[in-house]
Amino acid sequence: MKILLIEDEPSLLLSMQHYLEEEGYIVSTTNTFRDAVEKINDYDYDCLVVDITLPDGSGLDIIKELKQEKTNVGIVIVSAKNSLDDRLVGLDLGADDYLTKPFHLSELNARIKSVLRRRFFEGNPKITFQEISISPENQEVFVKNESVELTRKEYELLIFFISNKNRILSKSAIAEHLWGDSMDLADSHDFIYTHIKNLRRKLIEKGCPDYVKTRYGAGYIFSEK
Amino acid sequence: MKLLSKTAIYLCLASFPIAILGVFTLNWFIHKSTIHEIDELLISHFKKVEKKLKISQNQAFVLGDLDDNPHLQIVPFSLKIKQIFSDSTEIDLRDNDEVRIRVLQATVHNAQQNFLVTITQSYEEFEEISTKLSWGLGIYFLGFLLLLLLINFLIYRQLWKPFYEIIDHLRNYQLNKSTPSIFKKEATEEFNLLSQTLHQMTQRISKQFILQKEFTENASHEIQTPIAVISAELETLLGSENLPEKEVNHIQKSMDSLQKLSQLNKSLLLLTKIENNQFSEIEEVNLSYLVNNLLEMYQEFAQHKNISIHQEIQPNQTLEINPLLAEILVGNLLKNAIRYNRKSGNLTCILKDKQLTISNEGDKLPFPETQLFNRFVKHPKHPESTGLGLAIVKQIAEQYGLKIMYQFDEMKQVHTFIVKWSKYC
Repeated sequence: MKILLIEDEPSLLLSMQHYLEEEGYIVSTTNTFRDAVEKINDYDYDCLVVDITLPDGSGLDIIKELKQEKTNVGIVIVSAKNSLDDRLVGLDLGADDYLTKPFHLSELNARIKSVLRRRFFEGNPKITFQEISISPENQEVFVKNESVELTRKEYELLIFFISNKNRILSKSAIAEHLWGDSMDLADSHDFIYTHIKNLRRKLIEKGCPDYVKTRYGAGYIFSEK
Repeated sequence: MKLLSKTAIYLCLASFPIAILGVFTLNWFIHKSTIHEIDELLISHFKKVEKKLKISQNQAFVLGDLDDNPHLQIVPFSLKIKQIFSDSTEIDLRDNDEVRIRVLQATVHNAQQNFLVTITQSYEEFEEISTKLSWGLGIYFLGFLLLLLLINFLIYRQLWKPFYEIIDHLRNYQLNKSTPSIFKKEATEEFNLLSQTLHQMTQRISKQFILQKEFTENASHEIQTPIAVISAELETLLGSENLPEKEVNHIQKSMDSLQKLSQLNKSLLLLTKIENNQFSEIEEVNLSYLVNNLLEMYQEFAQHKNISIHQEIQPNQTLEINPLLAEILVGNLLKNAIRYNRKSGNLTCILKDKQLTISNEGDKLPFPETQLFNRFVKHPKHPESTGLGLAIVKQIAEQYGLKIMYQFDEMKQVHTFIVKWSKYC
């Protein structure tokens, strides 16, 4: 999977590149509007991560141009602007998702995975991890072909974990992913812990090993190791 | 009261005394002129009598008329009067009324005798004409005025139409809607001036508004980007292998603070945007629906603290407000009621009759009630809060003219927030 990152802040660009490369993507980067347009014309990408405010143009124009030519490319907008207008315009133009800065790299990763899943596995977008298999279409989870009853939050948590497997996920990243703007209500640590504990219990009951590991109380890792 | 009615009233108030005064002045003026003319007539009459008396030496030549005019009376030579005018009355036989007359008396002597000549002239008719004329003119004046007012009333609507159109435009003017010039050229010079001035003014304000909006958003961008960089760097650092626990804790703490900083920045920007009226798109929001949704959304947080929610929500309670701000307003109040509630406490949410009441249990405020809605006022037990939630609530309430109240029940230890939006509260 090839991803193009368009972002004018060099250190943020580098961090995103490293994180996504570790996920196994082929990542190209650029920090100007002109260069981005050239790259899009010369190469094929599966997903674009676009910052709206670029020094020599608007990321929205890139999306406009892109949508006129090729359609089968996923687009995630990354913007420091939290304005509703930009969000609506961006999604109207055909972007798949909109992420407001600052964001967790794990969140960006999960969103990209979700976009790619929707775009490239239309018929059968199954998510699998060892003996766990998830069908996002009807939000069903199976362990060794046996259905597992999960609450909505537990389901979202599991997908987030699998999207970021073998990575440490901080509590704030998990809270923000699950509750978005109301995450400030989820500030007590045992609140998140309750959800994780329940998910863990349900998976183990169906015969999974305990994939969720804590790391010094700073966060959790979902890993088969 | 309309300008027209006011003008009419003042005009009427002023013109009645003027009319009355006019009637009397005119009457007086005609009276004076009449007397003057009568006197001249009497003198001329007298001169004729005098002439005849002097020539004829005999009074028989001067015959009086039916009114015994002139009346001659022989008086001693010692009496000398040189033309005295006086007013008097006599009985008019026609209708037995007293009529006013003018009298001229003077002495004339010839060689034999000295005569006292008395000449009279009635002027009642002239006075009557004068009175009728004066009152007639006064009434005509008032009638003319009424006619003018009537015409004014009739053309008023047409004349002031552009004015009401301008007012209408102004009322519907919304800053953030990029409406093109709505103030057109008017035919009346004054209204045209008003229209053009308003046009220039709105253009200027609009420009200012756009600049400010850009600044707010740029500020957000400039601050959020470095925060995003730090956040990404810390996350990468946290992911590195073999980090000792101590370092992991340091990273974790930095990340938490960074999260707070970002939240703070967002809240401050939100406050500025509300102040700048950048959320002026208003629609009718179904609050009942919104409150139900938010309660459902926050349910699990409440459950976690074992809080019982008591709700009484009248369906289809609506409010004209920006939908996003409505969500923030209700959301912040509900979040507060959950966050500051006791473990296993009660949360009551009542929405009915244009009033939203949200209450929770908890200890008395550790700071004066008056500071509750101020910025950066935090509960000492919750240092992680931004201290901006209620400030935002207040700002939104002020923006839409909603009344917001806080009450604390000492007995039951219950905090209550009331939002009212009845126009007559």
